[in-house]
Amino acid sequence: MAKILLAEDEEVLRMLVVDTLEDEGHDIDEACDGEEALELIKQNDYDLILLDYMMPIYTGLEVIQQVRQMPDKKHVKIMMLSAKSQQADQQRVLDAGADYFMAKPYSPLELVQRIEAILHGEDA
Amino acid sequence: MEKMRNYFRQSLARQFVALVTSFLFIFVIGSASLFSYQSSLTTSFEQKKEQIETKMKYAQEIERAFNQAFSDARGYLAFNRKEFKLSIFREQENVQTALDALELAATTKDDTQYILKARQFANYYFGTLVPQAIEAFENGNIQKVLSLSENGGTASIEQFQFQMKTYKNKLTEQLDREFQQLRDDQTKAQTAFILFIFTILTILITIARIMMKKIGRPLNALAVVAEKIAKDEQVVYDMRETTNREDEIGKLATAFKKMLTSIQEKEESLMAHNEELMAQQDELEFQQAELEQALETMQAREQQLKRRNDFINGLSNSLDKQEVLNSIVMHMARVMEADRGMIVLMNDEKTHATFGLSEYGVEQFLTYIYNGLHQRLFEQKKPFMLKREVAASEKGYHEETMFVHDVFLPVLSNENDVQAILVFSRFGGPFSDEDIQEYVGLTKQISISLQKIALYEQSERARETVQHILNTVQEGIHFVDQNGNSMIVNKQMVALLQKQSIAELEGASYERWVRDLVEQSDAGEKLCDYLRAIIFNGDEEREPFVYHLPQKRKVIQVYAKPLYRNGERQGTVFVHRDITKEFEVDQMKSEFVSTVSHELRTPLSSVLGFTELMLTKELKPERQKKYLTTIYQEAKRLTALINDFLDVQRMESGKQTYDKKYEDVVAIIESVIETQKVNTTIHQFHVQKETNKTTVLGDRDKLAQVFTNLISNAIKYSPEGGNITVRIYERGNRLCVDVQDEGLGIPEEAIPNLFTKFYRVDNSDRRRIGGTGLGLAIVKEIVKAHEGEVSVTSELKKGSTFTVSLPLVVMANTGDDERETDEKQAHAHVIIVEDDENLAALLEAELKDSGFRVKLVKEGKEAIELIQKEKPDAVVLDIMLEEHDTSGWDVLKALKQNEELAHIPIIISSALEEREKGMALGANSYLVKPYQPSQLSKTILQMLLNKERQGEIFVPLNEEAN
Repeated sequence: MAKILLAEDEEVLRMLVVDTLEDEGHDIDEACDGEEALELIKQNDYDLILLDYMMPIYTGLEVIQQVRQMPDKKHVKIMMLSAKSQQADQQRVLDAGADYFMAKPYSPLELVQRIEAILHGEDA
Repeated sequence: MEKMRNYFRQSLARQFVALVTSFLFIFVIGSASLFSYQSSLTTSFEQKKEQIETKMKYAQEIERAFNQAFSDARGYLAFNRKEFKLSIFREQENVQTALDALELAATTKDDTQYILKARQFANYYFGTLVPQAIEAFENGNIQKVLSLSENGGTASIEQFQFQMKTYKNKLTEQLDREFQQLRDDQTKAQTAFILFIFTILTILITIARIMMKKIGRPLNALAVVAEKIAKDEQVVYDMRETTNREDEIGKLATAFKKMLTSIQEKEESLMAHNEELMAQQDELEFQQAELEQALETMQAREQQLKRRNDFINGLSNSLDKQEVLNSIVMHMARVMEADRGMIVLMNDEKTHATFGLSEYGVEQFLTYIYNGLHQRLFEQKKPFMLKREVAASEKGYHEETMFVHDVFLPVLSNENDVQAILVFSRFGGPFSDEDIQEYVGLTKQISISLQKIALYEQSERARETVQHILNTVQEGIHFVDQNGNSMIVNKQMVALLQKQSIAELEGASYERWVRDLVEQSDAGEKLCDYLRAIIFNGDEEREPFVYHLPQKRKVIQVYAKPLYRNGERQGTVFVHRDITKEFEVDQMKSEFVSTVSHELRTPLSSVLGFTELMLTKELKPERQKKYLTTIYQEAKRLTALINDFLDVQRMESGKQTYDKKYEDVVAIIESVIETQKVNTTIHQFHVQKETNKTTVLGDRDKLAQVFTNLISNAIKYSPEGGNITVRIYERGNRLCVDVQDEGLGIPEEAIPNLFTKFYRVDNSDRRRIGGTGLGLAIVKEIVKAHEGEVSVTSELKKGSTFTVSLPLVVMANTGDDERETDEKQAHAHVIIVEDDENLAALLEAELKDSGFRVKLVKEGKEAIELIQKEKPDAVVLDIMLEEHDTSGWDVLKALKQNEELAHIPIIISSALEEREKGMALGANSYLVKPYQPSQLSKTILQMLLNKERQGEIFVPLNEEAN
């Protein structure tokens, strides 16, 4: 069981991911915007952070940049979920400090597989 | 002694120096002796004068002492005062002292005699007379005293007093004598000195004369001889005497003699030479005369050549036609020595230039150019000359008969056409045939020059045309030669480089224009490389290059085409195309695509995700239902999004069509509220209608969409519920609708972007509120299409108010100023044939408002019947009548065929644009829907007024029109 943060402004998508991951037995925290996500990240130690790109207040990109500034969060695993799936967007996200990238629309099962691999250190 | 004489004889100068020195010596000696004599005279006089003055002093002292003694004695005898007596004896001593002194100073016999007498008298007076008198006086013997006085006392005193005076006089005389003596001696000495000077001068002059004679005579003789020689006279001069002398004159004479001999010898040879020269000179003078003549001819020819040269220069100096013509006339007149002249080109404008002519003369010439004498030129194409008497106006102040010679010269083109004519007049004399031949030669030059100008003008016109064509092209066109230098540019290119004129860029070097271009653009070296590759490396296959002009906010695409002539590359044409619009559209498109893809992916993600879960997992029924509901909602959201998106696209591209009719806004709003009420239980709706004018020209469905979007937003953004108020009111001919909620409100910074596509207010309270982000953009587009405006005011947490304003349908005003027309209209009866009930009601209201009596009818047949029955003053006729098969056209035809009804004016009111047909069928006016109802009243009124003027009378009604 892993502790995971999901930051996503679309309620429906939040429900999809939370339901799927809870079925797998993970402990999920939810954030509706960038600001909330940052607060939760400061207060908790997550095994993985899932960030939507287009969020109110702070975008996913801004959240990554701020997290990487925090001394004890330099190595926390971050995955970006984005509809901006072009190569250049993906590269920008990885350059900013994200470890993984998944394009929208994503398959929940695929997402679960990917997360399991990451948590078991199989996805590099 | 002999030596010394020789010394002087050898030099006149020495003699002269000796003479002057001895004169000066004698003069100085004489002056010195005179001076010393004079001074000795003065000294001796001074001494004598002093002696005499001393003697005088003592004599006076003696006299004074005696006189004192006399008066003292008398005083004593008279007053018996002792001090007088004492004084007497004191004076006796004074007399003695003075006498002793005088004796020492005595020099003459007179002195000695005087001293002797004085002593004698003193002895007598002091020794005898005074003591006796005193004794007698003291003894009281006055008698004796008196007798003493009478017996010689007084007489002797008086005698002595006289002697004293005489002596004094003698002394004075002596002084005068001495002074006289001195003056005489001085005069003598001065006279002697003058005589002495005079004598010396005489001697000097004499010696000088002798010397002058000694020098002057031989010199004079030499001068005479020299003069004679100069005068070329034969001289025999015996100079033996002179040449024998040893001094300068002697030397001069000897030299002169030698020279004389030498001159005489040379003269002979010179004479011979001279003769020879004279002969030569004659020869030379003859040659000179010949040369002068030749020179004159040369100068004349040179002058002529110069004039011709000026003429030729004038031809080639300019390509300006007028300038060249001016030059031709001026220089031809000079060559021909003509007094006036003119050249006229046989072109359409009769371009001409004149010399020495009045404006009137020129005008006259041009007017009769095909009738005058010069007509001969066109026929014969040969020059000719005329001799005529000078007209009075030309003669000026001359009275006698004068003649003038006119020359007419044709300028022939290559095709032997008369290209121009020249006319020149000369008062001076006739022109010779040779002259005219020469002028014909010059006209050939003129012909060539004129052809050159014609060619130049033609090419200049062609060039201008090309430049005009280039300037009309929207792209910047730039032709550069093989070296990259700028050759041809158009206006757009000039503007692109922010230059002032074409000239500034034409001929600019490669470095310059490339620098200018690169400075303007943001492409820098890349643009440079592109241009270089094409111009210098001939890289013809390059893709067009795109660069930005940041200052002008433009995007330019440049492509290049090489220019070849006869297979040889001439240069490159660059075309700079302004692709700013395309570029912006492109950018907007890609941004839009990116946003849309994001917006679409979100609901798609849900649909796909939940479907997948349902397909792959065993789920409880309640979860299944929840997932299915979500899928359904998300699919609906997707549909709404796509619809909205398509709407916006259609509206923005102007492809949306609006079916505009007269619609009551209140009815639309009420129906929208009815629909929206279903979606909420926590909101209360209020409609405030503050005006009766609520009709607008619009598309019902689209207006409904506007209010649906606004009201659904009001519901969505006031999640806590509350009042939603719709207020309808009029503001300056516009109908305004406020939609007000009591919800979240909009942050101020968001307001400017509110009506932008996909804009969502970034606020945590709003994130759960769904929506496409297109609603307000659609509102804005629809309102815009209705010539309306939409705006918003808002306060956070208090709510927002959206205001839509639309143009009101204009009704004709029925104010006091239109009272007169109102009364006429009030009588007028109008039948409206219209099947659209809304429109019919609107038109009826409008016409009633304007004071007409109105009846409505929906169908064609019914209409014909009613018109026949009522015979209205005007009929408003719709063409497309739905219900039955009688169309407006049929009604129109029927009315016009009926004699009784044919005069009734008919106004067609139709959506069809078939004005021609309507008018042809007899309609009086044709209004195309949609139109402002006020226009209908105006049209009818105008028509009735026209009819009235044609003789029909309307009886005004007295009732109020409104």
